[in-house]
Amino acid sequence: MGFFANIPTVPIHEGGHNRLVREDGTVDDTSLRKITGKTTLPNDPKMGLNIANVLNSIDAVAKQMAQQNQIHMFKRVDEVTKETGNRFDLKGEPMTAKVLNDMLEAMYIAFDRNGEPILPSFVCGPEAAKNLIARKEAIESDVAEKRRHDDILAKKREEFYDRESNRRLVG
Amino acid sequence: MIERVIEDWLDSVSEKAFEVPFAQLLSLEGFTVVHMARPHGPMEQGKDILAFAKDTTPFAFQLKAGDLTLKNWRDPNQPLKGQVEDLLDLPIQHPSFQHATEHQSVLVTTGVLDDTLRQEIDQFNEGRKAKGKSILKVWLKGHIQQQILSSLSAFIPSKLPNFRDFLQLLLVDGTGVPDKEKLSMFLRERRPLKIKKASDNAIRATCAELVILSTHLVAPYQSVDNFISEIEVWTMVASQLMIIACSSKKSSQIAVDSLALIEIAIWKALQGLSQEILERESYIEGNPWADACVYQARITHVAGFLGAAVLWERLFGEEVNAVGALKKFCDNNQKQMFLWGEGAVPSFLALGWALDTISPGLDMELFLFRIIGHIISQFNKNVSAEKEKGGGAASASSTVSVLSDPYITITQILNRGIGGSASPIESSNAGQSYVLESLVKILVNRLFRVHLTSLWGGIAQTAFETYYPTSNVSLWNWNNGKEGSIESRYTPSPTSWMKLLEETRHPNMELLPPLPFQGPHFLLMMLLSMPHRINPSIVLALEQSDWCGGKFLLNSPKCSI
Repeated sequence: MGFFANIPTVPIHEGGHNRLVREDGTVDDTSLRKITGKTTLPNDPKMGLNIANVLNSIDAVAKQMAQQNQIHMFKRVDEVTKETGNRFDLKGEPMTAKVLNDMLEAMYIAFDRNGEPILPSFVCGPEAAKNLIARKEAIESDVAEKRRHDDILAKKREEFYDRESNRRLVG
Repeated sequence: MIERVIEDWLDSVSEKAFEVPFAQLLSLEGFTVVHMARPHGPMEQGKDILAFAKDTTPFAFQLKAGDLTLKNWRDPNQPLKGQVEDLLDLPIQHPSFQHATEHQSVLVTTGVLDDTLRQEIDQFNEGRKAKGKSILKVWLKGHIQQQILSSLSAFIPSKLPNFRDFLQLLLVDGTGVPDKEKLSMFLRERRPLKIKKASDNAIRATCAELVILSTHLVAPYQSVDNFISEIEVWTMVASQLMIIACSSKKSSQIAVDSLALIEIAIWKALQGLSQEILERESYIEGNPWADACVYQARITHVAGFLGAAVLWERLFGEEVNAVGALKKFCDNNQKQMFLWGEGAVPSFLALGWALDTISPGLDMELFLFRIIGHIISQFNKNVSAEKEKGGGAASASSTVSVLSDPYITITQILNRGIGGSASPIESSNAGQSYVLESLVKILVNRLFRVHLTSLWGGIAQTAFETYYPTSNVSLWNWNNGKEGSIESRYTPSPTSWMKLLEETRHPNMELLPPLPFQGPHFLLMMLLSMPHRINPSIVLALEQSDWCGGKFLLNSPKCSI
């Protein structure tokens, strides 16, 4: 599952779909999706049957299901970003500090009690990760974008506090 | 096999436990049952059950358990003969029998009569006949067994798995808690899918079958005076009868007759619970070393049902000393109550409503603020855990202290506590709650605006989780599978107090299971027995009830939906 294993899971005990009503009244409906796996347990009399084989077959199903889950989540991210327009296509160009800041600017950022940002994780393929690490120094040395990064976070912090202070009872 | 099960049950059933199934059998035979003896209810000299036959002949029944002998007839302390004479000769004093001058009297026993007693009764009847007086009829085990068998005629030829499930539920250890999910599934399968199109007789047969089967399923708990588990089983049966009652007007009339019997059974169990609490000094069960693992959870569960006993007592105005029992229990145990998960919240609410009726304190409000405080502080813990991980979402392990959702049962929690289960209870429930909105709505109803304002930041960060069924009748089911949906709703920023007040005054009827009669008492039992059914509409219906002026269904004119 990689990164997705870190996402908290919530059991759904009843109902065929989920409806999220946000504080601004917008609604998001999500239907449940079935994930299945298939495995075979060798029953060759010469090999006999042992618990290791059984566990391996369970692992095989789990892997298939995790893979489907991962694909489903990427698809869902794709659908949502297509819907909201919240997507950046580098079109083969290398990652820059500017693009990273543009992405950050478009995102919701939460802050902890000490005012520190809870920054999002960056999920990418192995090749993209290698390129990104290779460009780390270049990205971090862009002074103008570093300043912009700080400004974005300051603005996000302000927005966050505005939003939080708006969670109140009125009228 | 089923014959053997019935015979064993008749051999072991107590007089008290026999009343409900017998009344149900009468109803199936076309009698209209109008009265069952209740603890501390109006006295009916020697008469346990009063009913009208199809031709409106009044009948009075006296019930006995086990074999009867001449010794019983001549018992110096409680002679059966004297009771029978009361049954025969004392006129029925009941509003429904005002114009009845004579009644038929039947002595019913789950056993047999020995030869000497049979002869004695024959002579007794001869003597009465000679004097032109009414005679005693006697119904014995064989007759009852036949009645039960015919009431189960739809069940007996059913598939073997159904019978296996029945035996599994029947052979449980009565000291434990019932497997309500399995029980509900079993009872649900006994209910025809097309109940709306069923004939009156078919509906009556279904209701009778549900009650008769349940009298067997409740027997393991009755045999060891496990009153709470008994009530929970009756509540599961009542839930299925509610669905039948709400399907049409004619179903309502029939199912309410059966619900009336269950109401009495629950009332008797509540009285038994109150009595037990008054009599016991310690509430430890069995070995204290082992009981320590479950003690606080049990105390919480008992407190909820004692609260219900107080509310039922108040509703029906019949004193069973539930208030005394609750006061005694709370003095020693209120501090032991344990919020083991959101599933424990109905117990706190029932106790709070009961305490509201007997003392002017702020017990309920304190419960509410403590639980709300717990829920919103979990969210903060969760955010801190995220931060410690260096950003990203919190892992499951960071949320172990989070209250489990109300679908997680006390048995699962306790199994986990003592290492008996690997169920995924620790899955995160942080940042969302099935109970929070209900708790908030109670406080809104009580106009605690200032206090809520101080907590609103945390409340607004938590999603209110609610199960929406496709039809509100389905809320009576234990679980509706994929039917319906779960809504996760964040309260608007900012939230209008006036709107909250409005929502409190006009709860969403989609979330309120329909009732075929007046009175919130079955809703309360549903909430205690099926804690995952908690939602703001059910809670507000209970919160806004004044718990007085209720009548037992047996005494009420039958209402339609």
